[in-house]
Amino acid sequence: MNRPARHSDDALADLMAGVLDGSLSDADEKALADQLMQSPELRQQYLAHLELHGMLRWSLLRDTRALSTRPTTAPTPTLWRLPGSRSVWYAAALLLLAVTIAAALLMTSRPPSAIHHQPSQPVALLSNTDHASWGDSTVPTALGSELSRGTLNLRSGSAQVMFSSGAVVDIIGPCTLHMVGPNEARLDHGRLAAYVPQQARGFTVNAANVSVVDLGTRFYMLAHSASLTTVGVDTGHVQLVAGDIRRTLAAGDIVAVSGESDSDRTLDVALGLANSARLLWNFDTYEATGLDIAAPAQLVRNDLLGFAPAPAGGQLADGNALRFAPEVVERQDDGAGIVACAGLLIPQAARGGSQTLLTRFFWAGYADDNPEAKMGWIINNGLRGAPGAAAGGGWLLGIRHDALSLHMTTPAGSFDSERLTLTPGRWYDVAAVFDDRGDADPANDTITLYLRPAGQQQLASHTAPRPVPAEANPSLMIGGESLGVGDKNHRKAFRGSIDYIALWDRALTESQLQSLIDARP
Amino acid sequence: MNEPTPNEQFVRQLTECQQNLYAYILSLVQDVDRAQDVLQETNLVLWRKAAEEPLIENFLAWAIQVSRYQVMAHLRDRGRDRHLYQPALLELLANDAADRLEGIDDRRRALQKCLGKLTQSQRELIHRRYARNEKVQDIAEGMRRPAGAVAQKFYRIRKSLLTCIERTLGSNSGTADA
Repeated sequence: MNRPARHSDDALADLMAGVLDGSLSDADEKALADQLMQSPELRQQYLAHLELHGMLRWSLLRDTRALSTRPTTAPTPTLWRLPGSRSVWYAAALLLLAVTIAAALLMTSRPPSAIHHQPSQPVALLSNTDHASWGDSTVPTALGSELSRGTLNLRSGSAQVMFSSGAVVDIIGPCTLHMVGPNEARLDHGRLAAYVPQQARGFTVNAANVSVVDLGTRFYMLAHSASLTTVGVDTGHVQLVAGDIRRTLAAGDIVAVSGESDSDRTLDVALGLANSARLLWNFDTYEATGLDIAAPAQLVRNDLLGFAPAPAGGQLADGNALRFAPEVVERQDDGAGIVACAGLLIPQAARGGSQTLLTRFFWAGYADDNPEAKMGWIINNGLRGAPGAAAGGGWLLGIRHDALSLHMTTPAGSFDSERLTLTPGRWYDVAAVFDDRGDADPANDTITLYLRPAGQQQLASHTAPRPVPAEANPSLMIGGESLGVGDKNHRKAFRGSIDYIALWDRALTESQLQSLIDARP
Repeated sequence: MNEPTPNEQFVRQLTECQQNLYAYILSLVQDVDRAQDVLQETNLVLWRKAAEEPLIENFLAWAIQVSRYQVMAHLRDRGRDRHLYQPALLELLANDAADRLEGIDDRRRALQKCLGKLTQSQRELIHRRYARNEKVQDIAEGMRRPAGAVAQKFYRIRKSLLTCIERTLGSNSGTADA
């Protein structure tokens, strides 16, 4: 063959599927081998697919392989990455342990409970550090140190502790972790992620108000305070013990344990919370054709929309943010701008009654600096200006005169929330919770706003002076009060980026919101 | 922090190059389990050789060389009848794959970003295939779709990821409205 025949995309797809699944027929394999011999271009494509296949396999297949029961009867340097970005050091720790701690702790088939440790004996190894800055610790903090029972106080950076049972814990500073025993730790405050192989089943982490007993899994914990701990399970199961409460949690479960004593302790189970949102856009998709917003949303002035990197962290945050760049297209004689307001229009999506809005956004300033137009509404839930706005009223949430603000209009009148100060050029987490208490009594309705810049939180809680609008079924708009071009409400266009926006048809609790916003370790 | 001892240095280098070694080996043996076996064999050889030769200047290059021999030995025993394992082709692929290692760390970082840009349904498929280690055939049965159609879908996802990686590395990332 003088000239290699070019594989069509479909043919290459079939061949690559056969290669990757081991189902290639002899004839196809021969044809592919012949082509690969002759075409450097095809070799590059072929290697690129295999490389990607390997990277995906390596980075995503974690627990099944790490939990596999390959015998470890000798200090064999069998390396495999564990969950977590730095967990290659688990393998290093295995090696170091094998060589430096007589291998017995890890390589023996004896269950961890059968190992008797004296208080001064090492119960763990500091198997990795990454930009770690240490506070007062009662155990050595040099990489590779054997750790006896004691406390690690990590000010910043991160570190990995491998317990002699085989359990591996990543901690993110600031964090205080106490090594209680070869298969037990206490988290005084901060964040940890634990990976527990089968041999360390039963690994226990205690926090002030809860204990988590692992049943062979991967989980994470955030000890916010003595009275609030978040526990999340990535794979497998854990047993959660909080006073008299015992509950088995499965992969995907997130629980906020609040309260210090048995009498006031509550479990706020946020099972599949992120997935239960009525509407959720995280704006991560980017296709060559441009914005790919799931129907039935319509884009208005998408020439003024684009993507921007978003900060990582939280259950919903990831990847891209949608950037809104409204512009003043003309300035009128009186100084008022005619503004092109870009955004998303979702027909028939506004709702009344109990609901929760959660969003993460970057505010870049006003679309029009005219003093009369110093507003940038992020969302319009059925208020006037939205096509088909209902008589029942609606609300706007966004920026008004340098503050987070909620404006609501009902047949009984309008309401403006307390304002929470904002600064342009920052990312914010914001939640608005409308709670009608599930009854017909408008007097007990509440509206609560949460605003969380990194590291602090502002809260505005109201007994709604007007009932939460009960009926609303017109359009929902994201990006402004009125989308398109105009010189009135169009000027109140949101300028900045939205990482995600989610709506639930119920009032979420503060701890549920916290578990959604908090970054995993 | 104490300076690592030579042993620690070796362990660090060995662990740091695991992903790249795996990618290299997989590109030659294609099969993920077989690649893992060869990787372990390679690690053993490196471990033993490190004792004889404690100071290695270019660790990755050395490890790749060792893994190449291990692949050839492995396939010599087990892959006589495979067209994709014929020595002349393996030689070409081994050279190309070694050349590709140069930018692999950048591509890996870009991949993490690109995964975030997949649609929900694409992400679910990738999760099932790679995180849950399901076979294409099983996924197809669950979806009541022909296996070929699902395999094509995976190909398209991989291709879009490759395009995204290329695009990401080819352009400077912007800033968010700052």
